[in-house]
Amino acid sequence: MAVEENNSVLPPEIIEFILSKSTSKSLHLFKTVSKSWNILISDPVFRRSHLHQSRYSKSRNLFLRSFDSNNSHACFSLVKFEDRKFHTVQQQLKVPDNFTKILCFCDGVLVLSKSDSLYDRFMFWNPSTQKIYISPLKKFKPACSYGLCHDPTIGGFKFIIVYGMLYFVISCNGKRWTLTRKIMEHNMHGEMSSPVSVEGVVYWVKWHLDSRIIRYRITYFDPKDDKFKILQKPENVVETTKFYLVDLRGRLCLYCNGPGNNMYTVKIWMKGKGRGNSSWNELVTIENVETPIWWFKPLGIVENKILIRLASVAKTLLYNPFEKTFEQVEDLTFTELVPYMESLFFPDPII
Amino acid sequence: MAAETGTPTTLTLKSNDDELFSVAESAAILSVTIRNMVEDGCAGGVIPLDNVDGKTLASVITYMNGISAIPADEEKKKSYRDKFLSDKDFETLADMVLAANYLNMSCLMDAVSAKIAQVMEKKSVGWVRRKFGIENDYTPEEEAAVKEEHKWTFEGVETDDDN
Repeated sequence: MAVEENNSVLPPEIIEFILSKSTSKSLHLFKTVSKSWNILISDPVFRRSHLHQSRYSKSRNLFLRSFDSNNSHACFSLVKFEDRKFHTVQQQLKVPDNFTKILCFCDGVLVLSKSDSLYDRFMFWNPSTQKIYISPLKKFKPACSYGLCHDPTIGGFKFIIVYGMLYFVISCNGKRWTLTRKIMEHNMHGEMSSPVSVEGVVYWVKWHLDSRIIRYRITYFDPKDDKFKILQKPENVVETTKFYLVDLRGRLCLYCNGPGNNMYTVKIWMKGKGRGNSSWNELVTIENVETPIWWFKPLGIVENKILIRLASVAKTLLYNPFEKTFEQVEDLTFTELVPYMESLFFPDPII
Repeated sequence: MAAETGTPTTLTLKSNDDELFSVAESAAILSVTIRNMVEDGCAGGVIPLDNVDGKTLASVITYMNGISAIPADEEKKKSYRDKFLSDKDFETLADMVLAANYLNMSCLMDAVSAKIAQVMEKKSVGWVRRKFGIENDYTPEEEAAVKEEHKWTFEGVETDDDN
């Protein structure tokens, strides 16, 4: 993927490295610099390293904040967490009418739904390139759970709509959409949490009632064969412990109440790197959490500290794992935040 | 590698325009290139750095000293890097990214590249071509076609008379 230029001030590999740190919007503009820049920016391998830079760069800490506006338009603003505050970077990123609910997101692409009627319509949105695609399908009733995964090695994005045992897989391989109807295997039944997309697959917490006891498992959608599977939990987390999943720096993390089910101690585990890896390492144990765990949500890791939201008391905290201290940060409008990523990916169907 | 005695070891670095610089070994080994030379025992006399000029090397050494004086506090290091790069122009940044690459200093390489990417934001295509020394190999028709494809990206870009 070398950018060959005779009088170039910088060698191609350095140009590529710099461009991998540029915004998606700039990169679209820079396609017109020269043919070789266009080829580089369009290359899937470059797109992955660009996304990787956005995801792992310690300095970014960007979020999309949704807020209600007076009319039916959903409004989002781009905010950056810096110096213990949320700063607005860009105001009013408008999305089309009534698409107000974020269902799932993956690799910089969000799926939003419009639910003003009996049926859902879906919108795919990449805020960094401002690309929007509204699905023409109208046949879906509001479902139990949704998920979006992206694996370029096996072909683009897959959007999963789950109705109990029945589920649909809508895949986009860059040329067209295909819709597949599937039935889950018998032992996979249960309720599902909101999805977490990591490493090309989607994870959910799944629970079911068994002899009057609720049992919790991790399930994931494997885009290789479009099947739901079970992922091993950390050994110490028993089946009856309620736990939650979250993406921290591109890794799947599980959190639950700590030793002895102490309501105010939260233990976070991190899954080993790699899709097939089901080893878990203890990341941190947070003591003296102000609220029960269902109000607790880690937002991300900021310079080796964990940014946490406590919904019941509308507080955003920065937890220092080395000193075991909390610091409250300024967060005036306590509304939903989802991670923002610079991404050149989009499910581009040619219909 | 370092001397057993309490006195810190000092290295002498030579730029490609024959300027000599003294720098504490503990700061200089931020560069993997220099660290390898020290570990291989080739750092006895003067270390020649054939790809870095005196002006850039002076700047890199300022950075080495500054960042190594900060204890392991990622936040402080980040704000030092931001401040260090804040007043540098494109040409200086380009020299620094080449030096950071040659010296194999990943933290500086990351920071300078991110800074260049930030400087490039909202700059016109003409500015980028000039600064990077890149020839426009599109025909006017081809260029118009690529522009048309990404029309919205041209909103809010600095106007450029040479473009």
